[in-house]
Amino acid sequence: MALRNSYLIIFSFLISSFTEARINLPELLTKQSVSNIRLLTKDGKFTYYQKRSGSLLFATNYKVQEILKSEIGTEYTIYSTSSRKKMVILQNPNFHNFYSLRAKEKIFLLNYGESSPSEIGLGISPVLHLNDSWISFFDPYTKVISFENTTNSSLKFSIKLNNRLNPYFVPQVVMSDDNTVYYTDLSEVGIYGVLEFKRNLSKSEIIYKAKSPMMKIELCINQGSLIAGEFGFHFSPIGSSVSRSLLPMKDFSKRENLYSSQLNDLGHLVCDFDKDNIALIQNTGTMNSPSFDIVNLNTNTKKITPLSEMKTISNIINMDGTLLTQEKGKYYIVKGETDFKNIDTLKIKAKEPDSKESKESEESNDE
Amino acid sequence: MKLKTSHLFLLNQFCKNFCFLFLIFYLGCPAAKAFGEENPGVIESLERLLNVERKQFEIAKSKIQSNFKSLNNLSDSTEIKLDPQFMRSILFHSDDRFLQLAQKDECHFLSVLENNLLKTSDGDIENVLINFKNKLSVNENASLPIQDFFDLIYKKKCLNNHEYSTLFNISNFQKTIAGIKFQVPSNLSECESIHKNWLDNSYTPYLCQVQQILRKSKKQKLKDLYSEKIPSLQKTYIDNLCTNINSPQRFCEIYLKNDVWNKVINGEAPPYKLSYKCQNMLGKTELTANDLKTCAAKLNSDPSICELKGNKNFQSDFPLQNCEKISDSLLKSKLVTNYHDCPGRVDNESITNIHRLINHFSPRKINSTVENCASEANYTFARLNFDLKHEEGWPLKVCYLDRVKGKEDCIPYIPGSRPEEPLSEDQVIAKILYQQKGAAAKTKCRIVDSKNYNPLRSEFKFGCFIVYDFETCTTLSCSKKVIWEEKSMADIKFIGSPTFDYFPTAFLNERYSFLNMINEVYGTQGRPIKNLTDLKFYLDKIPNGIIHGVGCVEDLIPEEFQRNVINQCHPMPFIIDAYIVKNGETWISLRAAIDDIHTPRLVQWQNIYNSVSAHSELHPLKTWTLYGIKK
Repeated sequence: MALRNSYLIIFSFLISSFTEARINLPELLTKQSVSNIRLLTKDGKFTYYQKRSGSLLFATNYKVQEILKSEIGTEYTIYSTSSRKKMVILQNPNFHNFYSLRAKEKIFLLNYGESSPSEIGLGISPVLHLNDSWISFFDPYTKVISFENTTNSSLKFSIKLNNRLNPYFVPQVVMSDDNTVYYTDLSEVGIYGVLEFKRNLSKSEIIYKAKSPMMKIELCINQGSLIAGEFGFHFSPIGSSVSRSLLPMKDFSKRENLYSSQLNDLGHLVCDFDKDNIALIQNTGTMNSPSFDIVNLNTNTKKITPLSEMKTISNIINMDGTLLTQEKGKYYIVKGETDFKNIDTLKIKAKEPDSKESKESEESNDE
Repeated sequence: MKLKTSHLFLLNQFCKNFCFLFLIFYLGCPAAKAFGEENPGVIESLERLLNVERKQFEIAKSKIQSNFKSLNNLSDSTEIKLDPQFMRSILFHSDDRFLQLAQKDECHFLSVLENNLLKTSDGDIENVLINFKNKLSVNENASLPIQDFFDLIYKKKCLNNHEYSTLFNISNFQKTIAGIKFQVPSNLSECESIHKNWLDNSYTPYLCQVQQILRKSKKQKLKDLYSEKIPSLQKTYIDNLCTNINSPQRFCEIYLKNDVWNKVINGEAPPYKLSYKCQNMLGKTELTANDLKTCAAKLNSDPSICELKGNKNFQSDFPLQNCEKISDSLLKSKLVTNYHDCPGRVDNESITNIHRLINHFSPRKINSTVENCASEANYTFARLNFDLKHEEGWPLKVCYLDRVKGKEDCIPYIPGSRPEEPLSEDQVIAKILYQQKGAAAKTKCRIVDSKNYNPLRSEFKFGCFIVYDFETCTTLSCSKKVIWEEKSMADIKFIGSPTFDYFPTAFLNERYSFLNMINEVYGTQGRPIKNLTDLKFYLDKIPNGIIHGVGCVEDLIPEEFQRNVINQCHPMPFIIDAYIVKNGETWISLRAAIDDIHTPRLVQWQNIYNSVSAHSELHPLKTWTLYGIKK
């Protein structure tokens, strides 16, 4: 009997050691409906959420303030970066009754953790750059990317795109320094290009052209390097790659390859959640039967580590340092330690022994 | 006497025999080798045969080339033939395809040779080795430049070849190609007959020479010259013909596939599944049967062409899909799409989707042009509201200063020009000018692209013009000017943008959400679709049933649109009208409202489920926004 039991134990141990541990992502649970949340800071101090009435609210330290008010049904989205100095709010009062991918929204700028926004313009796809010292946004009708300094609003410049073919194209934009912008554009035949804009010259120069119109390019900045991801789409046999160029850039063609794949990944590079790591959505299936999951790419070792095993991932979100993904309407925490549901639960103090009782017990012990 | 059986004797004999055999062997082997080399046996390796032939050809060439002749020397010669060794080299070293082309008769052979389609062991043929009888009737061999050979031979036989050469020279080439009928087959026996005709056709060697230049020539200028002169459809045809000239099966393959393009040609599928794409690719408004056939062949032979072409001037998401994938989607597709719309010009994804749904259940004749593609979509939606007596649902209005009332008045209008519609933009403006500005009763307004409007030209001196930029103007954002008798009517303004619920967001306004309006006006019925099994059942069992919904585009098309922040969502209406099962995987044929109507995309169920779920979470009533709809 004992022998049988020991065999069972050994057998179970062997099975478990050969079986890979499944990655089970915890669901994001919050005190209120997640669908109302617009930003939860990592330390749990600040919560930005909206209401059906059209208000955007800011909660901290058990105080709630209304930041913005608009018509019933207004949708807000909030953008922030790891610099934690500024935040951008987009306001769409016609979210439920006017479906237009290109409709411009009001853009507000706000100091991180505060509640007094200032309106800065109309556009889509806002991005904060260079420690939140610059903001850019895009006008899909005039096809102009506008840049404004977040401290001194009189410092502005803009870049006009060449794209004529795709009315829904939104460029990737990164600023490497006050004088230099890298962005993507489409050529007359719809091929992605990476361009470098120099503010002092007010001139753009093309530094890279994709080899096919059936691929996209994503850009981001990680640890002083420009990260460029190239991903094929629409069943094209192009594959994927991620590369790095040190900044200031000398020659884009001499960039270092960090990762490549024969399959078309979704990409969706997230470069600012950790200094040595980039997250992306990889095709872990085949060309004809794709399945998508989040992986971590270590920029030093170039090692790929899976972060999810859901096979149906379509997004990665960096919410103030917590990596999230949404699947079947629910949010899951991919990387992050914060327990958002209990973050501000009052902790019960450890009960201190009563002084009289302690004296009595001492006396009885002496006896 | 010593016995001959003694050991010494035997040893002696052995040595003698051995030496004799050794000598025989030593002398005989090279001789055998030499003999074998010059006359290889029946069973020999190809490599050896080629080596032998190469050597023999070199020998023959060096012998004959010493007797180099020019045209003048041979004018009295007779019985001019190609040297047998030269012929053997051609047979060994030429492409089997072109040897097959050459074997019909002597003239065919000569034209194939003339078009540089045959080779010897030296490669391209510059000089020809010939045998002939001189004026003394003595057999001679000579080497002749190839052009001289043809100048000579065409005086004696195959006179037509000379004319063909002229037809296919650089200056006449384009005209000749335009005059050739490139017949596209619709079934196997017709195809084999067409292939045989090409084998016998005297033009074929000339076409194949061009094909070889386009494929292999290192002279880029020549390649470009030919490339410009041949239309792309004919280029594909010629390439397929010459690549498969020796195989009718391979030639016919691309014409006989089970794809939607061939089904349209055969009348098994409605023409609109192919015609609008071909019209756009060919730049023609009217297509002949042959245009369709050639276009279908092109889509089959070059599937990547659909990725970049087919929606010019009808703005939509870009790039498009591969022809093979589009064919897979369209094979079972049910949506009636006998028009071409332009989502990028409408700029309201709901209205585009509504236009497609209504024209599926209640098709009307739509004249799809660049000028009216957006206004047709607006008209469909406006009419839906007016048919339901719901004027507030269509808020687009023209405002003007009413002289009688002394204040601003606004009346509804529908963008675009429609003779039978009194609310169309041009008629509404004309009426305002008549009633308020003293214009003549018969005043007609013309809608003009701002790029073409030039007040200095006489055509714009008199009359009424509504001017805006066709390229950038959308329903949401459009700067329009009304100009009458060269004066700008500054008080006439266009206001309003259509806001409405696609799916009801509150019980109060449920009746005037699109979901209910279409049922009331067009007699349709709908129900939610919750899972993949239900989706398949609905599409399979209900003949005209299709599925429509709204989901977050970031989950629907994650290849192109990215979610960066929590609860980010751009609602995207879409229509599903078919599904296919390939390699065990179910793919759903979907047209997002931003997609070209003739370019459905294949998506997985999880994308649809994720996008509808994400949108449902943000919806005020948490409605599951995926519905089947039927009539």
